[in-house]
Amino acid sequence: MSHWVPLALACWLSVNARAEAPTDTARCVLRLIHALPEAGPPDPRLADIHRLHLSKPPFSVWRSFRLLADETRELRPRQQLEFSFPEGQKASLLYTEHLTDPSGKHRVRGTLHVQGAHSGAGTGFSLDEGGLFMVAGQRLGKGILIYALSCRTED
Amino acid sequence: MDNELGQLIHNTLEAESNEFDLAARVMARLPAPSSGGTPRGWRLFWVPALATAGALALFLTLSGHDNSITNDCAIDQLDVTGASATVLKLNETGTTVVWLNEASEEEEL
Repeated sequence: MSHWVPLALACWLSVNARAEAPTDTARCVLRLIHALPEAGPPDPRLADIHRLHLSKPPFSVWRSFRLLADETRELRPRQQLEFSFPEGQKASLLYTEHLTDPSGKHRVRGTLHVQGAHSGAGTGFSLDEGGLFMVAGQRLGKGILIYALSCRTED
Repeated sequence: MDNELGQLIHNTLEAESNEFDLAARVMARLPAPSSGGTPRGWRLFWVPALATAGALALFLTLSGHDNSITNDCAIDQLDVTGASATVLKLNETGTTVVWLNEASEEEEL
């Protein structure tokens, strides 16, 4: 019976360590996609996002999608990174914090700024870890730009 | 007469009980201890240890990161210049999209 006490204590400590000290460094993926009115070959790098999102309204009015940039960065809490894209757009991502809501769901809070030739937007968000959040609509040529952001703090 | 009868019964029972070894029969039915018997201390440690490890593994499996990714996103703040903005939530995936409606070049002219 006495052996149960340290084992139970070790179990409790490991559980609490996991619950209260999540990995806070976030790995964020920011993709910049050009949606075009002309048909074109599918971009295999966009297969997943095309199947889940781009093939459906409101994106389905566009007939082809081209990946302009795919940036993966690691950020510490309160760290901000700048992105410069080939077509002259700029973006910045501020990773504010990692949250665990009462149901145990992990979320990432931050702010994404995107600046195009005609408009800019700064969006503060709280996003499910691994989920996708998008900013779309800035014009580029005959098409529009789509920024797709996803962040995780643990594998 | 009664004493003789009592003595006779007593002697008979005593004689029968001498031939009947109850303890020997009970012991014969018990499983014999194995020659390399498991030490009691081994069981005291490993049984709870394995049970605890199993429970911990189950907990970590169930409480770890949920592999089913959801796209719930709350917009805490939105500042837009040069366009109007609409916040959309896509039907099937629940993905949040901030849609910027830039004025077309014709409208600007």
